[in-house]
Amino acid sequence: MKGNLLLVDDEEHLLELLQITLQDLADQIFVATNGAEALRIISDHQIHCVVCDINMPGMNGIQVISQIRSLNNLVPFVFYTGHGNHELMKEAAKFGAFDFLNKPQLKGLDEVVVRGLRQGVSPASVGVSKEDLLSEYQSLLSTITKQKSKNGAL
Amino acid sequence: MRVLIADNDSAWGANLKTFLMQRNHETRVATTGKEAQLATYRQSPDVLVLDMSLERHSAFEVLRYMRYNYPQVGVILTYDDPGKLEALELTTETLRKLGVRESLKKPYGVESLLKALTEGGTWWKELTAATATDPRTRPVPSETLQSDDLFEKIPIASLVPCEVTVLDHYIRLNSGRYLKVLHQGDAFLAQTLSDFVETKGVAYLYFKKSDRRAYINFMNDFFSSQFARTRDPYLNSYKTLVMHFLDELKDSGLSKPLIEEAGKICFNMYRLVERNKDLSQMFSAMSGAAPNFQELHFYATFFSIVISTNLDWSSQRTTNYVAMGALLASLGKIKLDPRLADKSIGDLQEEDALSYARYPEFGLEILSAFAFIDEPVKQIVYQHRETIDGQGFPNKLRDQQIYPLAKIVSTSMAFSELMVDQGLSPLDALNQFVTDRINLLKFDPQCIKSLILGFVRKEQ
Repeated sequence: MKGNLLLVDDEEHLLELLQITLQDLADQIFVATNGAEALRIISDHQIHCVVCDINMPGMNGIQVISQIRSLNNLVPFVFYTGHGNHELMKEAAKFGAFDFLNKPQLKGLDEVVVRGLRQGVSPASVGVSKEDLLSEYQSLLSTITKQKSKNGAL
Repeated sequence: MRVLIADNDSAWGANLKTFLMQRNHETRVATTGKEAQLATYRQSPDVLVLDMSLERHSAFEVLRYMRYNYPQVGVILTYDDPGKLEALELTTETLRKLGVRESLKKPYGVESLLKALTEGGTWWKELTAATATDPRTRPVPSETLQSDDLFEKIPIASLVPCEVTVLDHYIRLNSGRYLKVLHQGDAFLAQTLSDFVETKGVAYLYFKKSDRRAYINFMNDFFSSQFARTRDPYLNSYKTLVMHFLDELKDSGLSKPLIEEAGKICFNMYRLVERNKDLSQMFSAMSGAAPNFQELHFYATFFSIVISTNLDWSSQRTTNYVAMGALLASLGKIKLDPRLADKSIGDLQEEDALSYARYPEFGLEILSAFAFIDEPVKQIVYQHRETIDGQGFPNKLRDQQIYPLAKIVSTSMAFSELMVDQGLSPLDALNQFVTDRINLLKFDPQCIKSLILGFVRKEQ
């Protein structure tokens, strides 16, 4: 399962471009040209990652993520941002943004989206106990110690 | 070759451009000093053909700008009246110190120009790629009386022998008294360096702070050129380079050329991690140094790269961003009360702790003025002190609220602090860091695991 992706941007030509660029990476791609539409799609469908413009007329990207988080939805959010959105980016950080891309940069977008979808489909480190972690770490440490005594380094 | 012609005679400049373009040199023309500086900033030429007659930022102002920001660019100075040079007592040696590789009297012939271009476009590359082979005559040391504030010290153990030095090097005799022992362009051999240590008993050489940018630039290019030649990790030299970079950042502030150098440092350090599959072995060659702020950032950058390259979801993009984020992480401390800057938040009283907790936000504010710095780097700087238990600062974010790339830097920063504050070797610090249950609550498990994996020797 690749997961479902939601693209939110008021620039329709950019949405089209993103849809074409990312079509092979997701099971289904939904698009919204404003925040209210994005919220409707998220409440009606299982979305695993959102790529959202930070600066939109009406409801901006921060208001969108804020409303989604208030529903306890931790779907990974990738923000598209331009220079000069300093205050908005500061706010975005408080709601748990998954990644950031400089607009209109497409380079790196596919990699970020794949990672976001993967995180959305199976959130990392869920259900691993501290004891299990510690035991795994100690096993790795003993491997290092063995290597060290064998090679005499450090 | 990328050539920039700076000449207030636009017709001359246009002719020269046509001539050089026909010979496949990417050429631009600037008709004022200001334009020349702007074009250099945008284009980073290999050679600047600079005419003495330049106005609106004179040729000397441009030379100063080049020497400080782009010391690697070969400058060819052109002039129509040799009397002007003589009147200013500009000898070849003085011009060389100003960064002029060649000078040509107008009108000059095609052959002279092409020869000068070759010299101007290759001198830096040859310098950084040079290896120590032919010992040369040591210069006569000369004494100078200047304020200690003008000098920067560098441990001899961190210097890399190469054919020539791009800086003047001094030995400090006592306060305000320095002996110039190596001149720019002198041989810089292993033997020369060990002579200083063994026969003169000195541990440090000094260079002028005004040459620091040239040092950073030179070392970056040197490391780039040496990857194919040697397996020596030059770890001490990297550490010293990062320290001087941070000093330069503190003294001169953020600028595009300096960020470009930061990018080179990060990329070279990434290649270093990639190439050396046994970190323990690598650190065994590392000399100790007094714990300090700059050293901490060297380690934080280094281990951010280590963690990033061992995470299964990470990419080159991630590594570039975390390295840059770690290098710039404490930028905001510039705005803190100086008595707080070197402290840990845990050592501070409540009021001071509240002020201190704002430094990531200050860092973000400083970076927000720079459009060429990508948002991920800004967010790393802003969030690198958040911990997954929600007890970090400035916003007390929890686990999934924290930007994943900031979690990498947060982990490497805490690990590096442990090393530096307690003077531990990387492996001892790792044992302590990983077995401390509090760290399991504070840092991302994937990041901790990737840090440990960095120390597991991989097959070469």
